[in-house]
Amino acid sequence: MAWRAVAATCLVVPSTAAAQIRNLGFAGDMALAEHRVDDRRVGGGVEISTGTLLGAGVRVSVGSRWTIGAMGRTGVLHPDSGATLQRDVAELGLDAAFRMREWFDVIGGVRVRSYTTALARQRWTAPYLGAAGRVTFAVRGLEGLLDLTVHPFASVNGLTRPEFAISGGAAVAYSRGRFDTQLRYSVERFDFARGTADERSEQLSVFTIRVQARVRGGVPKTTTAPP
Amino acid sequence: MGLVAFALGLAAPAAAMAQDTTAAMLQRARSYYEGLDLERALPLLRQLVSPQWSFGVTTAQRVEAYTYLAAALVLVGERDSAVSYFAAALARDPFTDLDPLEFTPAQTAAFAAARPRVFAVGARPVAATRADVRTERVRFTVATTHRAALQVVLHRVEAGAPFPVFEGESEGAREIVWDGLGPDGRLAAPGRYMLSAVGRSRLSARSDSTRVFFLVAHEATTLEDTLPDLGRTVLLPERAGAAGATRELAKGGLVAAGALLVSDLILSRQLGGGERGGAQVVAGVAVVAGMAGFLTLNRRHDIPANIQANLQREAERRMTNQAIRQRNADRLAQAVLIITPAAGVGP
Repeated sequence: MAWRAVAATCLVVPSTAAAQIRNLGFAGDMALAEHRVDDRRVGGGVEISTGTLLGAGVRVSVGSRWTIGAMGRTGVLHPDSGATLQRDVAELGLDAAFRMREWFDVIGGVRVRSYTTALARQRWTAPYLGAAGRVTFAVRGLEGLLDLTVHPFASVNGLTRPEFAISGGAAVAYSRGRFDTQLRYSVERFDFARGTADERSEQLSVFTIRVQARVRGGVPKTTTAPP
Repeated sequence: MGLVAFALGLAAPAAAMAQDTTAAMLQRARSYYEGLDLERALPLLRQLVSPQWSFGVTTAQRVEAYTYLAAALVLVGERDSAVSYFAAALARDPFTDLDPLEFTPAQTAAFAAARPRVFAVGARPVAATRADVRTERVRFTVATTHRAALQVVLHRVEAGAPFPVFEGESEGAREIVWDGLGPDGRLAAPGRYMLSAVGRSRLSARSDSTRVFFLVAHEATTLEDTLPDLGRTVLLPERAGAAGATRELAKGGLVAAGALLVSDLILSRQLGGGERGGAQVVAGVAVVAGMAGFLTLNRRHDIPANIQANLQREAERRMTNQAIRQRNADRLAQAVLIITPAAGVGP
């Protein structure tokens, strides 16, 4: 009996959800990233690493207000100044945006990221919640995006929960036909154990060029890209 | 001053009383005449025309007295005297005539006999009138006591040469018609005019003349002003950019400022700042996007509705002005003369 209900749910729910999908797009991006970290326990000063991250993902618009996306990135951050170890970065993210107004979205999601060096691996789990504003220009398909999010429940293995975790971004997006392009600048900043001997500050600034191809639907009403 | 006023106060009622006395005497004489009480009528009438009559007598009263005196004399058989008195009446007023229904054939015959014996030319005072000379004429009445060569001329007193309005044979009363035009064929200029009638008797070598004065004025015509050209303030703009073009620049500036603020506020100073090049690129692109939006909206383009509205306004103005010009032309073409009698000579 139970297996019949499960089977019916498996059959009905996807078909219902599929009917609600207004846009479906696949995206690829290339990000120029700079990572900075200063750990007083180590005492080595600010370590700077830079590198290129490549990513891919899928994004769907459900109904008239929801946009949900999943994105994966990976790449290598090379030691630049004060750093000695190369960091491999891998990231998975699940993002959602709810359109409150024509110009305003509430955004949220979770990001799981790992930094791997020859010595150790550090894993980040950072749920976030924030707001995004959208400015539509007179040129059809052109819009500007601003967003600000907080990560109150971010956790990093080996570290206490960050006391200050915030990220923000600005982007210009252009949609034409089935393709969307976006230039985006974003910054993440995490401060741990502020004012103590174990204080640690970490920040990641990323300049991303993203291209998305929509395989279903027209120009989306919500193109806000969650961070 | 007081004496003068007193004298005037006394003189004015005295003159009026004299006129009343003459009129009363004349009325009484007429009553006697109409009652065929000629024995009483004749002395009264003779008294009236006598130089000894001390009261004032108007020309009309004197002419009437002469006429009734002559008529009474015809009835009493003194025809020659009657003819003389009729001649005296005619000499003073060439318009004098006898109504055949009121007077006997003998009286009218005596009156006709008097006509050749005297020659006089008369003109009635010009009556006040308003004449549109396109359709109406100004009329004067002149008279000669008997057949004569008559010339009637009009002369604008202030300037201009006399011009004839009648020249020919005339006998008795005659109506002279003037078309209101001057010798140049134009509408008579405003001013003081003199009507002069000169007659030369065809029965004797005598001639006579008379003149009357009148004023000519043009009826004031108030012309309408045509509508002025439709200026820029009245006409709607025919080309414009869309509203909100400058807002596009502001949008671009907002996104650019957001990108720079993100990099400025979030990047940690403790970490020595960070990569800002991406923020500057996004800010620059946002500014370009704002300019693109501005140029898109601000592109000058025709506004068909305004063009149509302006054309309609121009057409309405043309039609209105055409109607005004037509009305003005009609008013100017009316050429209405205002004629009023005048006295004396000179302006």
